[in-house]
Amino acid sequence: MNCLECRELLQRRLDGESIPAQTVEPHLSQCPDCREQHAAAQQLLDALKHDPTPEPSADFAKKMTSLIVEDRDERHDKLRRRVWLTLALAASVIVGLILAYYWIPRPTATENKPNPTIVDNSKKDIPPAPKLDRPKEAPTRVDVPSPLAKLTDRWVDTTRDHAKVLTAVAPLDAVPLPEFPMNPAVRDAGQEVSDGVRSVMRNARRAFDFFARELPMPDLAGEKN
Amino acid sequence: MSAEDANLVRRCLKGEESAIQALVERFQPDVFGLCVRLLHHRHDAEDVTQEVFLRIFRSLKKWDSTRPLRPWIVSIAINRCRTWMTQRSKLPETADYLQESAASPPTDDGAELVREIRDALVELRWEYRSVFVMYHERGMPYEEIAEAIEKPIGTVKTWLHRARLEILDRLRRRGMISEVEHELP
Repeated sequence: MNCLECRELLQRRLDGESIPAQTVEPHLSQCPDCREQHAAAQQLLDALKHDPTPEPSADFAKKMTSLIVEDRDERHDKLRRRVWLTLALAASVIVGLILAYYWIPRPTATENKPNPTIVDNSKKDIPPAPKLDRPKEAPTRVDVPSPLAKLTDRWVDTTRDHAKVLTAVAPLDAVPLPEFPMNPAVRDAGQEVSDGVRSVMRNARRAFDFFARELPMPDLAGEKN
Repeated sequence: MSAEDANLVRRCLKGEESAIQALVERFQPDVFGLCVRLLHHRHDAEDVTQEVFLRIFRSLKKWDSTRPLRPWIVSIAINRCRTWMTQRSKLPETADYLQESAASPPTDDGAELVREIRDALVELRWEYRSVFVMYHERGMPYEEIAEAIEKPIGTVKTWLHRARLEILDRLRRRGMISEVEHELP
């Protein structure tokens, strides 16, 4: 046996294997290095065997358990708060999107059209302006049964008389109206303004009718007589 | 053993305090023993043991129930000790560290030898030290050590042999070896 084999056996001995004494004894008796190494190994094993195992304090497990439970509860609370915060953020984003959809003005079809100053419209056919719906008949005295109606009628009659005089002097058919090339975007905008004003006027007229119905009725029959 | 561990872990995950305490009591000798020997400081070892158990219970869901529990717990303890050592090495040494020893020194004739072995352990490379402590102090088999440090068994054996040789060398250099009869077991 050489030193290498002897140290291999030493490692196996330190691993807890049982090595027969007669296997290494002849070599150890001749080799002081290996003998010292084996002696050191034996003392190391003895010392480790007698070294007391460190123990934590007696109530360590109980304290540790309460710490673990506290930590778990705290993490659950944190997780719950995070979930609620996420939900609140998601809800606020959704509400914001809904509000933006209704409040922020969306681009109209006319805004998406190319710039009219750049596009050459000279060769394009300009469509005629749409005709506005106008009431065919002027409101009569029956519609507005109030002294105010009489005053309005009087103004209407005066205006009609003036118009008759003017048309007699210069008939409308004889005067050629100048035709201006109109930008479609401007025309659409004018149409929209017109529609808007018309609806406002209609509402104002209804409100006025409602108010006028509450006024005391004048004695129109006596006046006629 | 593994089925018992799995059952204990299942009860812990359900939130049973008795199971939590049982698991702590079961593994506290391993964790605390490792921490004391690796950190060489009892007060630090208690702090690190607390951290280790908190981490164990935070990540208990990640434990693979088909594998043994002990190496998994030991691996967490070793990693925490290593991190602690790294952090401590960046701090200035205080008088407290110099005065407080890892454990109460033994009072028998082998006190000096035990102290020398502990000092030799501190001087070892981290890998050698952890393998030595797991094998000789905690009595873990090679397979469990290999699983805990995620290295092949051959590497574990090599590191352990080198650790022993370095400790024996130190003991010889320090004149701690007396001539004894070579009574082989």
